[in-house]
Amino acid sequence: MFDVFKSLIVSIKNFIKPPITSNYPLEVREIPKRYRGGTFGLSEDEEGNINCIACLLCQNICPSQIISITRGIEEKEMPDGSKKKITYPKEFILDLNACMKCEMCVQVCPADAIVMLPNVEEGYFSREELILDKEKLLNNWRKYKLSVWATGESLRAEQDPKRTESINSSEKSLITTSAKEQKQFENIIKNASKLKKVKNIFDAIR
Amino acid sequence: MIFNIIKGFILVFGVLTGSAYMVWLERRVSAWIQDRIGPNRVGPFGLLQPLVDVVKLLFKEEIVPITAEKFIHFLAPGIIIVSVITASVLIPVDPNFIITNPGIGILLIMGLSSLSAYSVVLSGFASLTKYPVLGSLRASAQVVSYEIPIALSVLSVVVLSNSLSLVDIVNAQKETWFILINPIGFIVFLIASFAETNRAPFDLPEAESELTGGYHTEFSSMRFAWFFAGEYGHIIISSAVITTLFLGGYHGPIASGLWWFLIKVFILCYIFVWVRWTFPRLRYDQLMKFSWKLLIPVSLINLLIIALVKILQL
Repeated sequence: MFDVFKSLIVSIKNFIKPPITSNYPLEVREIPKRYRGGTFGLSEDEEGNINCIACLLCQNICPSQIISITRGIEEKEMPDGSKKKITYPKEFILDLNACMKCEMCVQVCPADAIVMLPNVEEGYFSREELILDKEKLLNNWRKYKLSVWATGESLRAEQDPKRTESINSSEKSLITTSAKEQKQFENIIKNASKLKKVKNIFDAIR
Repeated sequence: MIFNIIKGFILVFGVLTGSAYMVWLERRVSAWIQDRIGPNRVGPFGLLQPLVDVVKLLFKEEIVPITAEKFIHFLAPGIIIVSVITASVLIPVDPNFIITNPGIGILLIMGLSSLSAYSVVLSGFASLTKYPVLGSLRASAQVVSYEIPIALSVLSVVVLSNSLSLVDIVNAQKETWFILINPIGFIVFLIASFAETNRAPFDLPEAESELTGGYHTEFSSMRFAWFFAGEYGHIIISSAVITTLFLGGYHGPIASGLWWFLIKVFILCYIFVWVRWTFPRLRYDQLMKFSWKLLIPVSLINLLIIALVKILQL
């Protein structure tokens, strides 16, 4: 009987609460930091030189095999006067038609050259428009470069697995540790010996 | 005579506009209850939305199924709108705005609201397709069982006021509203009028999730609009009748008049919407059990107690 009034109170509470829906075209929601639904860009440094070194890592790791790079070699004069051969992408074609946005190409890039861009309000009318060549990729970068968050370096830093602490005492001596870490190690070893005792008791019961 | 016709036109216009805006209120309140925004594009706060809806419905194609009984299919939406409009004329909204005061006003209103049930039943059998027939089958049983508690709680009001005339009933509540003397009657009447207007949690005849649209599935264009207007007009009429019978009509603590009447009707309309978007639909047997095993005995006992109190006081 009183549940009736309880449920009425619940609905009136929600009635007073402001709506969750946002008026989309009028107020645009912030795109999440690690959003990877957008397109790609090829980054440039501050002087306008392309960052890509044509190492072909992205081409090789791409699961859908949509990246194809033609490597070019050019001689470049270094600031100290000597000449050095560097590689650069002559052609860089990325076929967004088959891209599954796994972000692997970004994760492996050693030069932070290929990046994913947080654009949501772009649509295309033909398949040809989805095949991005070097020019389009550079234009994409110029358009969105301020909002780029995930580059190869930052992603690797974030996803680097934490080193697990070793229990083995022989290994322990090899690692130089601080006093605090030393204590942690000791605790872990103590717990391990306790567990061993418990295990022994269980075995005895069996 | 001419004044009465003008007053009648004003009332009819008010009820039709009100029913259009009930749709807006329903959509807006349901949206707010579900943490959405609701229609807010057309005009300020989406207030022109009903107008646009009516224009849209006017320009739609009218489709009549092959199985339909053409004449009754044509007649059914008319019955509901006529009964609602006629009932609106009987209600005293202001001491200076009484069009007609028949001695059996409340009986007439009950008869007219039963007539609108005919519309529901006939529309289903006239369409003669699966969902409308199921909807009208449910409606016929539901209306029969929920008329009785309504009649019994109206009787308790009649006992209190010694009259069947709506104006006399309102004037009898000048000092104390009948909701204070007869609260159980008010609750029974409110619940039964949810069922009478085919609203959730008693909306079995048009259960959208089971019967797509129930009795008005086969109606389109303006005929559907009449059903819609009739349904929401019925809510307004029900609210007005509850206001008249239990909440003192146009009487208020200060400055009695039309404003009090409109405020009460608005609050009751809001309660109708609020209840619809809170409770799930009852099962068919629960619906019947609720009426015959709970509402009717309670309203009978209530009528008995009210009558005893009345006799002992006099």
